[in-house]
Amino acid sequence: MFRSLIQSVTVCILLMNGSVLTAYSQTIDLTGYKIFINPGHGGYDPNDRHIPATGFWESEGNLVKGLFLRELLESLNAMVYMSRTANTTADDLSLSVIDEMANAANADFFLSIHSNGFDGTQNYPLLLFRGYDNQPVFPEAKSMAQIMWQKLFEKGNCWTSSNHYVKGDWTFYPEWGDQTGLGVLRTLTMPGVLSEGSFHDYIPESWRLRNDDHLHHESWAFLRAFIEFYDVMPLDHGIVAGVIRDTLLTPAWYFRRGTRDEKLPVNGTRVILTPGNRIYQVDDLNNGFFFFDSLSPGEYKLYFDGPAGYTKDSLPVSVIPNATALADIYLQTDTTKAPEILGIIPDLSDSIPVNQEFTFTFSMPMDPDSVQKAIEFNPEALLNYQWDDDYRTLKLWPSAGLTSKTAYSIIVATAACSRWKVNIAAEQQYSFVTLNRSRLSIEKTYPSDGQTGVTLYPQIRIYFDAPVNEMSASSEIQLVNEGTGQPLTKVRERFIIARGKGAYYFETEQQLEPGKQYTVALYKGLTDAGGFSPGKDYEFSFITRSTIYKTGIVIEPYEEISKFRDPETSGSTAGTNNELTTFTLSSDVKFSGSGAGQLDYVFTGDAGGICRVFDTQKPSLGNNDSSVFGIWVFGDLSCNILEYWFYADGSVNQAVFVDEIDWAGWDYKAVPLNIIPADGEILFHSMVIRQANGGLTGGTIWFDDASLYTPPEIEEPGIEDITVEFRPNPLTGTGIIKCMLPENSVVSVRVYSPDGRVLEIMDNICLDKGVREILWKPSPALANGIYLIDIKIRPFTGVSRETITRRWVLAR
Amino acid sequence: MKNVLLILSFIACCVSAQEIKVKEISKFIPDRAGEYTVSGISPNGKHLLVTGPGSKGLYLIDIKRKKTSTITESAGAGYEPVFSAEGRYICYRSDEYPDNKRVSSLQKVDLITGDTRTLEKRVRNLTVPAVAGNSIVYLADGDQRIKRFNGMIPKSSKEETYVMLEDLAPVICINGIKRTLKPGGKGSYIWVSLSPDKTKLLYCLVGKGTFVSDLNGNVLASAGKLNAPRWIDNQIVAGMVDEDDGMKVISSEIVAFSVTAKKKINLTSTVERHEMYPYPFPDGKRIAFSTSDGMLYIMKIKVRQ
Ligand SMILES: [Zn+2]
Repeated sequence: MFRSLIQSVTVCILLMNGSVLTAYSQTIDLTGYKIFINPGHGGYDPNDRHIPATGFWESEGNLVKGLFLRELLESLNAMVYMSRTANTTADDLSLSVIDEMANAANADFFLSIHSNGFDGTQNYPLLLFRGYDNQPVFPEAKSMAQIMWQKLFEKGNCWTSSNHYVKGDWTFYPEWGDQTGLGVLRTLTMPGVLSEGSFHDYIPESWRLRNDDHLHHESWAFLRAFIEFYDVMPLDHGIVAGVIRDTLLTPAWYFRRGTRDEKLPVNGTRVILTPGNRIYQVDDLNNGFFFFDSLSPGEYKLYFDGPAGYTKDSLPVSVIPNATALADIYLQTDTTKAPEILGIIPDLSDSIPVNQEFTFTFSMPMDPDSVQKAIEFNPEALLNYQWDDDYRTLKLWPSAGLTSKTAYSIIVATAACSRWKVNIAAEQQYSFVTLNRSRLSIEKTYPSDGQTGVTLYPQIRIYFDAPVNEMSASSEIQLVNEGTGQPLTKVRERFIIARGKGAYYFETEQQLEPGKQYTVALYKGLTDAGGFSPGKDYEFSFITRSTIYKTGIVIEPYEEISKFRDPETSGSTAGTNNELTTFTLSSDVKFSGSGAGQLDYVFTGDAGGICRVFDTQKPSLGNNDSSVFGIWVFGDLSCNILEYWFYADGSVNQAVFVDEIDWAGWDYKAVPLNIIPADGEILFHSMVIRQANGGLTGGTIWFDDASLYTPPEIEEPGIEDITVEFRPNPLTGTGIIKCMLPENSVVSVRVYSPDGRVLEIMDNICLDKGVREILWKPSPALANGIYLIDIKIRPFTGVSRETITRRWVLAR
Repeated sequence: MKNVLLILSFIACCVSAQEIKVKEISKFIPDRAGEYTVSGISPNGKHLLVTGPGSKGLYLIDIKRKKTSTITESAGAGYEPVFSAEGRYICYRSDEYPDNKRVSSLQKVDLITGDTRTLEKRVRNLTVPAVAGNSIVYLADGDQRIKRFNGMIPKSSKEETYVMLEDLAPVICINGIKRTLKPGGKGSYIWVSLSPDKTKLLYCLVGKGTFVSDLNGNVLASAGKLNAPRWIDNQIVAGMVDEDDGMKVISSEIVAFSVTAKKKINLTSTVERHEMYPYPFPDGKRIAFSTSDGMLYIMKIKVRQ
């Protein structure tokens, strides 16, 4: 809460440059002004914006800011109207109703409060007014927008850009049509501004937006803007705010390098401000934010009492009136303390597989050399080590596996020391027993046993529980055409060793035949490094796709890589390791010609990464509804998502879901052009890998020969098939399942969550033949991700059934 | 510029005893290009009063000749201007922003002589005028004032019934007695107007929808969502059903609502065009409206009682 805002009347203000300005027109408060506040959105409905990673809802943030601003404005005797004061569906008013309320109330100024969202990597204030940048409908709205931008910018220090983002909505949204702009500013009869205070999809900011005081801070910035705009006497009190962060630790979520957000906020600190002994208890919502308002100008001191392990600290701060003093602090770990081992994963009381990976977590950053030397396995084992960025977590695994059915001990000697050379207090010893392992086992294969529709150019992959003997794999593993009984010639064999396990990949010299069964045979002679074999012959089979590929005219051969931008400079790329994420020419792996585009990518976080490769040539695809656009894509089995991005009607971006990358080897991945809503020409401009929940955090994908196929005018008449389309994909609002039914049918639809739970059931819907649409309106509570849609179609007559399963990506 | 005539598929629908039919919808292109919204229609139905973005400016367009004349370029002038009953005068409010502080003036334009008279000058808080017979009624900084269109001699408007909004509440004046009328209870009221025969009140209660009540506050009919409603005749109103995604309008259609039949009828149904802010002609045979891109249209309708 803030203290009384009643001030004494003076007509002189000391300006920053020391001159004295006599301001006769200045008023003491906002008496007589009617301010209309529109907290944007409302009601947790599809128009709302939700960030599942932090639990933030834009409708909530906007409302908290708006209600507090009302309190502040009313304390200066302004009359305040609000378009909503609660957060229900009834509060989600039409934009035309909101405007008419302000008009009918005869408001002096209209403020629409929002937060922004784009690609998760940006954070800055954006202020919009009606009109063109240099031709505002209300010049006063533009001057207020400029003042507000300044006040919002000044109250923070975690911006990713200092660009003066004050824009006319007609200039900012050209794709909505000339002079269309924001609906909420459209029919106002008074100056109005829409404020996007910060970006709620930039995760560090999203966590801050969960803190009400951070939201209130924005209200204070708005108040300062009204004070300046209406030339009201400035506030005679100020604010101290800041963020408490760890000196060393980096967050696990995306942050912009070079900003303060690259250090992890510390939860739960007690902050004491003296004089006055005001206390602020920092929350546990990963923002580290603290806030004191209504402070008389002068010198203060902040005392920080952080959670265990942090040294207490303090900071002097000068409070200036009508402004915020930002006082960030980086808390130091108590470096004189002995480090501790906080835990080991896995639980050693169970028997341990021979290629187990062990994770040690320490209480503070460690000296890696000392730790590696101090850890010893008995019986001896050769170990591999991997540290996290902060040297607090160590992963280690035996490079050749442990001995089966054996008692082991791990000793961590006192030589292990922290970064500040303080040793652990006492030697630690752990013991465990390994599981019995007597044979080489196969953990996973691609294609899987019984898989159908496999590409004609697969990369066969066999994953083992231990590295295999290369010679034995080459000679003892074969791919056989069931029709001819002949083994195929293997090319590009690869032997992978990772985390104590092994894998064997190969491709075939010749393309496979369509609609044929193939078997991969592993013979008894196959062994791992320890000499274990599978014990018996093992085989798995798959069937190739039934038809040959229909590819068209090549419009992008991927021969000249300089036409493409590296992901780092392609825009939209987020959450990737820039050094390890590259797009280069590959002459080894290619589908045709002399090369292919090779995309190596590494995501830095567990979710939300986007890796985009921009084609500067933007080849035109025309706009023929029956055309199909596709690219030869060498998949990496990463289970991330492949998207193609297009420009439609000029520069309107259309992201199109292509497939989950659940194949290895070359496959032609195509999308029909008619799923892109466009009247005019369509340009292809980017290949995009979107990180999926549960997808691998890195991989390599090749692209070759993008082509456009347009079927001949008259297609040979075939049997009418059931076709099902899902659009749009990715899904943002309501989705449409469009079915072409050759006969009157009974249709059942089930929606499954990514973890396999049934979310929605629509059973036995009777539909007449023809093109029919079924709507799916995902509940706002559903997180973004991949959902499985299962459609069962049974004609009224007869018993033949068809089940179609598709993945639908929800990306709101 | 050529007048483009668009004839849409006829939408006919039976509503109880009444039948409302769309006969024709044509784009209306005045001689001066601009982004327009309809602000009024002259009592004889021969002129459109239109305004630009932000209700800036007021322009009178001769419908037959498509000729535009400028009444004013002032800010705010396009919000609820009024015609005198015989159509000779227009009264409008205009806004100025010296040092960002808004002040409003009330202007009266004589369309015959072209004279403009300032009735109120630079008032901090001025409501738009309501018409009461041959007078206008408004509040200037909370003070109620009545002025006659003709002669401007203050006169009692006792015999007149009118409605105006005060602090988002409808205030009805019957025989000189004012009272606040909130048929739907607490809340914000907008888009209020009386039926041409002054027996019914049309209003939108924010968050609840649009309704018609009698002048004692008994709700006669609920139209559901129907924004910017205006009377076509004593039984039918026209409004818009607009949808947005929280940022921009994504669809809007003109919809009629019959108070007696308690039914809504779509007068337009076009996905690609967003028809908004219908303004019925006094004769009840035409409706002018604008689209989200500022184009003007005139729709001919037929209402059979
Ligand atoms: Zn928003």
